[in-house]
Amino acid sequence: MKNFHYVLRLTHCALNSERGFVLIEFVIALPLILMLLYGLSQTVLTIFSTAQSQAADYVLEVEAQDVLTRITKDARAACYVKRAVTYSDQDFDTLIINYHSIKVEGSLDIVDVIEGRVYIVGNKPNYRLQAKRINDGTFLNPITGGNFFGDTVITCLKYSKLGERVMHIELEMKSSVTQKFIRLSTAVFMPACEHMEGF
Amino acid sequence: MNQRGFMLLSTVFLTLILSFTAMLALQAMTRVQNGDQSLKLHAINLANEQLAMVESLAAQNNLAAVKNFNGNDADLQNYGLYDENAEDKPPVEFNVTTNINAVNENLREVEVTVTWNENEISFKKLVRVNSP
Repeated sequence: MKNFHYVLRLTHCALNSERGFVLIEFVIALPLILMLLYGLSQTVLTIFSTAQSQAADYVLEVEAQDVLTRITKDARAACYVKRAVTYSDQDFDTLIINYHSIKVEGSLDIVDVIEGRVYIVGNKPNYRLQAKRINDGTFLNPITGGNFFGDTVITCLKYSKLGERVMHIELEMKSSVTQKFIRLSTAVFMPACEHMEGF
Repeated sequence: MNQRGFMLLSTVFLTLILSFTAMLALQAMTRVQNGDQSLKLHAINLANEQLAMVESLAAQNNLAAVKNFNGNDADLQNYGLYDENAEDKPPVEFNVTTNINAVNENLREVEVTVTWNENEISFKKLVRVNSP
Protein backbone atom coordinates (compact mmCIF):
# COMPACT_ATOMS: atom_id res chain seq x y z
CA MET A 1 0.00 0.00 0.00
CA LYS A 2 2.83 2.32 0.86
CA ASN A 3 4.48 1.53 -2.42
CA PHE A 4 1.26 2.19 -4.31
CA HIS A 5 0.98 5.70 -2.85
CA TYR A 6 4.59 6.34 -3.77
CA VAL A 7 3.93 5.41 -7.39
CA LEU A 8 0.83 7.63 -7.50
CA ARG A 9 2.86 10.56 -6.19
CA LEU A 10 5.55 10.03 -8.78
CA THR A 11 2.98 9.86 -11.59
CA HIS A 12 1.33 13.06 -10.37
CA CYS A 13 4.67 14.85 -10.34
CA ALA A 14 5.49 13.59 -13.81
CA LEU A 15 2.16 14.73 -15.15
CA ASN A 16 2.64 18.16 -13.67
CA SER A 17 6.04 18.53 -15.39
CA GLU A 18 4.60 18.02 -18.91
CA ARG A 19 4.04 21.36 -20.59
CA GLY A 20 2.80 22.42 -24.02
CA PHE A 21 3.98 25.47 -25.98
CA VAL A 22 3.32 28.77 -24.39
CA LEU A 23 2.24 31.67 -26.61
CA ILE A 24 5.62 33.36 -26.67
CA GLU A 25 7.33 30.15 -27.80
CA PHE A 26 4.77 29.74 -30.54
CA VAL A 27 5.19 33.36 -31.69
CA ILE A 28 8.93 32.85 -32.03
CA ALA A 29 8.75 29.38 -33.57
CA LEU A 30 6.13 30.18 -36.23
CA PRO A 31 8.19 32.76 -38.19
CA LEU A 32 11.21 30.48 -37.96
CA ILE A 33 9.25 27.56 -39.39
CA LEU A 34 7.79 29.80 -42.11
CA MET A 35 11.26 31.02 -43.07
CA LEU A 36 12.54 27.45 -43.22
CA LEU A 37 9.59 26.32 -45.34
CA TYR A 38 10.03 29.33 -47.65
CA GLY A 39 13.71 28.47 -48.17
CA LEU A 40 12.89 24.84 -48.76
CA SER A 41 10.15 25.63 -51.27
CA GLN A 42 12.45 28.06 -53.12
CA THR A 43 15.10 25.35 -53.32
CA VAL A 44 12.59 22.86 -54.70
CA LEU A 45 11.33 25.40 -57.26
CA THR A 46 14.90 26.23 -58.32
CA ILE A 47 15.73 22.56 -58.77
CA PHE A 48 12.69 21.90 -60.94
CA SER A 49 12.90 25.10 -63.00
CA THR A 50 16.62 24.51 -63.62
CA ALA A 51 15.90 20.98 -64.75
CA GLN A 52 13.15 22.22 -67.04
CA SER A 53 15.29 24.95 -68.62
CA GLN A 54 18.20 22.54 -69.07
CA ALA A 55 15.96 20.06 -70.88
CA ALA A 56 14.52 22.86 -73.04
CA ASP A 57 18.02 24.11 -73.96
CA TYR A 58 19.06 20.60 -74.85
CA VAL A 59 16.01 20.15 -77.09
CA LEU A 60 16.78 23.47 -78.79
CA GLU A 61 20.38 22.44 -79.54
CA VAL A 62 19.43 18.98 -80.72
CA GLU A 63 16.63 20.19 -83.00
CA ALA A 64 18.76 22.94 -84.52
CA GLN A 65 21.54 20.49 -85.30
CA ASP A 66 19.02 17.97 -86.62
CA VAL A 67 17.64 20.55 -89.08
CA LEU A 68 21.11 21.34 -90.43
CA THR A 69 22.09 17.66 -90.62
CA ARG A 70 18.94 16.71 -92.54
CA ILE A 71 19.17 19.56 -95.02
CA THR A 72 22.89 19.16 -95.69
CA LYS A 73 22.52 15.38 -96.07
CA ASP A 74 19.67 15.78 -98.54
CA ALA A 75 21.31 18.63 -100.45
CA ARG A 76 24.61 16.80 -100.76
CA ALA A 77 23.20 14.49 -103.47
CA ALA A 78 21.13 17.16 -105.22
CA CYS A 79 21.08 17.57 -108.98
CA TYR A 80 19.03 20.73 -108.73
CA VAL A 81 18.20 23.08 -105.86
CA LYS A 82 15.75 25.94 -105.84
CA ARG A 83 15.27 28.64 -103.24
CA ALA A 84 11.92 30.36 -102.91
CA VAL A 85 10.55 32.93 -100.48
CA THR A 86 8.01 31.33 -98.17
CA TYR A 87 6.47 34.42 -96.54
CA SER A 88 7.42 37.91 -97.57
CA ASP A 89 7.34 39.17 -93.97
CA GLN A 90 9.44 36.39 -92.46
CA ASP A 91 13.05 35.27 -92.68
CA PHE A 92 12.13 31.89 -94.09
CA ASP A 93 13.08 30.37 -97.40
CA THR A 94 11.62 27.29 -98.98
CA LEU A 95 14.16 24.83 -100.32
CA ILE A 96 13.38 22.42 -103.15
CA ILE A 97 15.89 19.67 -103.81
CA ASN A 98 15.69 17.34 -106.79
CA TYR A 99 17.78 14.24 -107.25
CA HIS A 100 16.50 13.57 -110.74
CA SER A 101 18.06 15.37 -113.68
CA ILE A 102 14.66 16.43 -115.03
CA LYS A 103 14.03 20.00 -113.93
CA VAL A 104 10.58 20.63 -115.35
CA GLU A 105 7.66 19.09 -113.57
CA GLY A 106 4.54 17.78 -115.29
CA SER A 107 3.87 15.43 -118.21
CA LEU A 108 6.16 12.78 -116.84
CA ASP A 109 6.16 9.16 -117.79
CA ILE A 110 5.02 6.80 -115.07
CA VAL A 111 8.57 5.56 -114.57
CA ASP A 112 9.99 9.04 -114.77
CA VAL A 113 9.53 10.04 -111.15
CA ILE A 114 11.15 13.15 -109.80
CA GLU A 115 12.62 12.20 -106.48
CA GLY A 116 13.30 15.09 -104.22
CA ARG A 117 12.75 16.86 -100.97
CA VAL A 118 10.98 20.09 -100.09
CA TYR A 119 11.70 21.93 -96.86
CA ILE A 120 9.27 24.59 -95.80
CA VAL A 121 8.61 26.38 -92.52
CA GLY A 122 4.98 26.21 -91.42
CA ASN A 123 2.97 29.33 -90.74
CA LYS A 124 1.99 31.01 -87.45
CA PRO A 125 2.03 30.40 -84.58
CA ASN A 126 4.35 27.41 -84.53
CA TYR A 127 6.86 28.04 -87.34
CA ARG A 128 7.89 24.41 -87.50
CA LEU A 129 10.03 22.97 -90.25
CA GLN A 130 8.17 20.55 -92.45
CA ALA A 131 9.40 18.31 -95.22
CA LYS A 132 7.81 16.40 -98.04
CA ARG A 133 9.12 14.13 -100.77
CA ILE A 134 8.04 16.05 -103.83
CA ASN A 135 6.68 19.51 -104.47
CA ASP A 136 3.04 18.46 -104.82
CA GLY A 137 3.28 15.76 -102.15
CA THR A 138 1.96 15.67 -98.64
CA PHE A 139 3.87 17.10 -95.72
CA LEU A 140 5.33 14.64 -93.28
CA ASN A 141 5.20 15.28 -89.57
CA PRO A 142 6.93 18.48 -88.49
CA ILE A 143 10.65 18.03 -87.93
CA THR A 144 10.91 20.68 -85.21
CA GLY A 145 8.70 21.75 -82.34
CA GLY A 146 6.13 19.92 -80.28
CA ASN A 147 8.69 18.29 -77.99
CA PHE A 148 7.31 17.62 -74.51
CA PHE A 149 10.52 18.88 -72.86
CA GLY A 150 10.52 22.20 -74.68
CA ASP A 151 8.74 23.56 -77.72
CA THR A 152 10.79 25.43 -80.31
CA VAL A 153 10.09 27.83 -83.15
CA ILE A 154 12.19 28.66 -86.18
CA THR A 155 12.92 32.39 -86.38
CA CYS A 156 15.24 32.37 -89.40
CA LEU A 157 16.08 29.84 -92.10
CA LYS A 158 17.91 31.29 -95.10
CA TYR A 159 19.80 29.73 -97.97
CA SER A 160 22.38 31.48 -100.11
CA LYS A 161 25.08 30.61 -102.62
CA LEU A 162 28.53 30.71 -101.04
CA GLY A 163 30.61 29.31 -103.87
CA GLU A 164 30.45 27.09 -106.92
CA ARG A 165 27.91 24.37 -106.01
CA VAL A 166 28.08 25.44 -102.39
CA MET A 167 24.93 26.36 -100.51
CA HIS A 168 25.14 28.31 -97.27
CA ILE A 169 22.45 27.60 -94.67
CA GLU A 170 21.67 30.00 -91.83
CA LEU A 171 19.36 28.87 -89.06
CA GLU A 172 18.06 30.57 -85.96
CA MET A 173 15.72 28.86 -83.52
CA LYS A 174 14.07 29.94 -80.30
CA SER A 175 12.97 27.93 -77.29
CA SER A 176 9.41 28.68 -76.25
CA VAL A 177 10.28 27.66 -72.68
CA THR A 178 13.44 29.63 -71.94
CA GLN A 179 13.06 32.26 -74.73
CA LYS A 180 16.69 31.60 -75.66
CA PHE A 181 17.96 31.62 -79.23
CA ILE A 182 20.52 29.52 -81.03
CA ARG A 183 22.07 30.53 -84.35
CA LEU A 184 23.96 28.02 -86.45
CA SER A 185 25.37 28.32 -89.95
CA THR A 186 26.98 25.82 -92.23
CA ALA A 187 27.54 25.08 -95.89
CA VAL A 188 27.21 22.04 -98.08
CA PHE A 189 29.04 21.19 -101.29
CA MET A 190 26.76 19.55 -103.87
CA PRO A 191 29.09 17.82 -106.35
CA ALA A 192 26.33 16.67 -108.71
CA CYS A 193 24.36 19.92 -108.69
CA GLU A 194 23.71 21.18 -112.21
CA HIS A 195 21.63 24.20 -111.37
CA MET A 196 20.99 26.46 -108.38
CA GLU A 197 17.88 28.49 -108.96
CA GLY A 198 16.72 31.52 -107.00
CA PHE A 199 20.03 32.05 -105.21
CA MET B 1 21.80 6.44 -19.62
CA ASN B 2 21.79 9.99 -21.01
CA GLN B 3 23.36 8.87 -24.27
CA ARG B 4 20.82 9.04 -27.13
CA GLY B 5 21.05 8.04 -30.78
CA PHE B 6 19.47 9.84 -33.71
CA MET B 7 15.74 10.27 -33.59
CA LEU B 8 13.71 9.27 -36.61
CA LEU B 9 12.93 12.94 -37.27
CA SER B 10 16.64 13.85 -37.34
CA THR B 11 17.30 11.10 -39.86
CA VAL B 12 14.43 12.26 -42.07
CA PHE B 13 15.68 15.87 -42.07
CA LEU B 14 19.25 14.79 -42.73
CA THR B 15 18.12 12.66 -45.67
CA LEU B 16 16.08 15.54 -47.08
CA ILE B 17 18.95 18.01 -46.86
CA LEU B 18 21.42 15.56 -48.38
CA SER B 19 19.10 14.66 -51.25
CA PHE B 20 18.44 18.34 -52.09
CA THR B 21 22.16 19.05 -52.01
CA ALA B 22 22.85 16.07 -54.25
CA MET B 23 20.18 17.15 -56.76
CA LEU B 24 21.58 20.68 -56.92
CA ALA B 25 25.13 19.40 -57.31
CA LEU B 26 24.15 16.99 -60.08
CA GLN B 27 22.36 19.72 -62.01
CA ALA B 28 25.20 22.16 -61.58
CA MET B 29 27.64 19.51 -62.78
CA THR B 30 25.55 18.85 -65.90
CA ARG B 31 25.35 22.56 -66.66
CA VAL B 32 29.09 23.04 -66.24
CA GLN B 33 29.96 20.03 -68.38
CA ASN B 34 27.41 20.85 -71.08
CA GLY B 35 27.59 24.64 -70.92
CA ASP B 36 29.63 25.03 -74.06
CA GLN B 37 27.62 22.66 -76.21
CA SER B 38 26.00 25.25 -78.49
CA LEU B 39 29.40 26.83 -79.21
CA LYS B 40 30.80 23.40 -79.98
CA LEU B 41 27.90 22.80 -82.38
CA HIS B 42 28.70 26.07 -84.09
CA ALA B 43 32.39 25.09 -84.35
CA ILE B 44 31.48 21.76 -85.99
CA ASN B 45 29.25 23.52 -88.53
CA LEU B 46 31.93 26.12 -89.15
CA ALA B 47 34.44 23.39 -89.94
CA ASN B 48 31.91 21.77 -92.31
CA GLU B 49 31.43 25.14 -94.01
CA GLN B 50 35.14 25.45 -94.68
CA LEU B 51 35.40 21.83 -95.83
CA ALA B 52 32.52 22.44 -98.27
CA MET B 53 34.37 25.43 -99.69
CA VAL B 54 37.61 23.43 -99.97
CA GLU B 55 35.76 20.64 -101.79
CA SER B 56 34.27 23.18 -104.17
CA LEU B 57 37.66 24.74 -104.90
CA ALA B 58 39.22 21.30 -105.33
CA ALA B 59 36.52 20.41 -107.85
CA GLN B 60 37.52 23.54 -109.76
CA ASN B 61 41.17 22.49 -109.46
CA ASN B 62 41.86 25.72 -107.62
CA LEU B 63 43.18 24.68 -104.23
CA ALA B 64 45.53 27.64 -104.36
CA ALA B 65 42.56 29.82 -103.54
CA VAL B 66 42.02 28.07 -100.20
CA LYS B 67 42.48 30.45 -97.30
CA ASN B 68 42.22 29.73 -93.60
CA PHE B 69 38.52 30.43 -93.90
CA ASN B 70 36.71 30.81 -97.22
CA GLY B 71 33.21 30.86 -95.75
CA ASN B 72 30.95 33.64 -94.61
CA ASP B 73 32.93 35.96 -92.31
CA ALA B 74 29.83 36.73 -90.24
CA ASP B 75 29.86 33.10 -89.10
CA LEU B 76 33.12 33.64 -87.22
CA GLN B 77 31.15 35.16 -84.36
CA ASN B 78 28.53 33.41 -82.30
CA TYR B 79 26.70 33.99 -79.02
CA GLY B 80 25.98 30.35 -78.20
CA LEU B 81 22.64 30.15 -76.47
CA TYR B 82 21.53 33.74 -76.06
CA ASP B 83 18.52 35.79 -75.07
CA GLU B 84 17.23 39.07 -76.47
CA ASN B 85 19.79 41.08 -74.47
CA ALA B 86 22.71 39.28 -76.12
CA GLU B 87 24.04 42.47 -77.69
CA ASP B 88 25.02 43.66 -74.22
CA LYS B 89 27.88 41.17 -74.19
CA PRO B 90 30.49 40.54 -76.89
CA PRO B 91 30.09 37.48 -79.10
CA VAL B 92 32.52 34.57 -78.95
CA GLU B 93 35.16 34.84 -81.67
CA PHE B 94 36.00 31.73 -83.66
CA ASN B 95 39.26 31.19 -85.49
CA VAL B 96 39.59 28.76 -88.38
CA THR B 97 42.85 27.45 -89.79
CA THR B 98 43.18 25.18 -92.81
CA ASN B 99 46.15 23.02 -93.71
CA ILE B 100 46.46 20.99 -96.89
CA ASN B 101 48.91 18.12 -97.25
CA ALA B 102 49.51 16.03 -100.33
CA VAL B 103 48.77 12.33 -99.85
CA ASN B 104 49.56 11.36 -103.44
CA GLU B 105 49.22 12.85 -106.90
CA ASN B 106 45.43 13.01 -106.83
CA LEU B 107 44.59 13.18 -103.15
CA ARG B 108 45.00 15.97 -100.65
CA GLU B 109 44.36 15.74 -96.93
CA VAL B 110 42.63 18.85 -95.64
CA GLU B 111 42.72 19.57 -91.93
CA VAL B 112 40.41 22.26 -90.62
CA THR B 113 40.88 23.38 -87.03
CA VAL B 114 38.42 25.63 -85.24
CA THR B 115 39.39 27.33 -81.99
CA TRP B 116 37.27 29.41 -79.66
CA ASN B 117 37.84 30.53 -76.06
CA GLU B 118 40.08 27.76 -74.71
CA ASN B 119 38.62 25.04 -76.92
CA GLU B 120 39.71 23.44 -80.14
CA ILE B 121 38.14 21.02 -82.57
CA SER B 122 39.74 19.54 -85.66
CA PHE B 123 38.49 17.64 -88.70
CA LYS B 124 40.31 15.94 -91.55
CA LYS B 125 38.97 15.16 -94.98
CA LEU B 126 40.45 13.77 -98.17
CA VAL B 127 39.70 15.66 -101.35
CA ARG B 128 40.42 14.57 -104.88
CA VAL B 129 42.17 16.90 -107.27
CA ASN B 130 42.80 16.54 -110.98
CA SER B 131 46.32 15.82 -112.05
CA PRO B 132 48.15 18.95 -113.10
